[in-house]
Amino acid sequence: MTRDEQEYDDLPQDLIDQLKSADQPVSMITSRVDREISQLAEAHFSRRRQTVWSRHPAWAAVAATALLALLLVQLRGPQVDEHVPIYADLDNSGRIDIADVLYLARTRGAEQQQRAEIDAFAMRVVSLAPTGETS
Amino acid sequence: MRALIVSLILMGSCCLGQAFAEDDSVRFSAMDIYLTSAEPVAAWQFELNDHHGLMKVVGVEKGESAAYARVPYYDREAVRLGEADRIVVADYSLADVARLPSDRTRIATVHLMLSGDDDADFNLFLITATTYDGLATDASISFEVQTGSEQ
Repeated sequence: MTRDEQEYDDLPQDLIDQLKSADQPVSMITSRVDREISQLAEAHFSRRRQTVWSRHPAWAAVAATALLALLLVQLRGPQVDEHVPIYADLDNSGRIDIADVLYLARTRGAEQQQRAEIDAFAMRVVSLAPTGETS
Repeated sequence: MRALIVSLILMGSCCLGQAFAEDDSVRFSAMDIYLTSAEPVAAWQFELNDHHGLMKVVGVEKGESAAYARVPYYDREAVRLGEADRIVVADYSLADVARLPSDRTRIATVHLMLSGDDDADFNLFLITATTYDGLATDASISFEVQTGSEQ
């Protein structure tokens, strides 16, 4: 038994026959054939690139609108760093007092939610509790 | 609004006065607080206490400047519970610099209940006064008891 026959030993005979028949020398690919295949491939994929958006113009418009809205919200929304604690020495005076509340009020605006935060900060500033918390 | 606040304070004072009617050592007083500053003031904060421990704050009124239209910030809960043997009062204004008060301005009136026969030894000090630009200004603070005496 040859080495090849040992490798085929566990395969079905019809599969072995098909594999043997396919085991032929590689046919020569000329440069012309190679160029034509390359051109066909390029034409195929360029068509795919064009049709992604041209096939679904409505979805493209929706996606563009959503992206634009997201950008507008990011640009026009309050520029507040949520990681910065607001009950702090915001004006770097060395202590927390009403001047920090003034600083916060000027930077946060007069919206109702912001006003509540500012009032809470001011109440903490004047609190008589030892920890500075409102009683 | 101011009339309502004054009425509430007076009613509270009357109630407290009746409660201590048999104790002739309890009396009530109103103290006007004045801030004097060469520059317009956008925020201020002061503390008032009594070295003898005779006072309890029973109310705080706003001052005379239109730039500070609301009652200033103070610990209302401590006042309500009768625990305010000292008080920290503060306020800020977002008004234009032209509307901010300067010179001598009444910034608040503090209503007090005083107990004991001794005179109170008030200690009033300015914690901060801030200009429109957010900088501390060299201001001074004084008080005037509404009977007319000034310290």
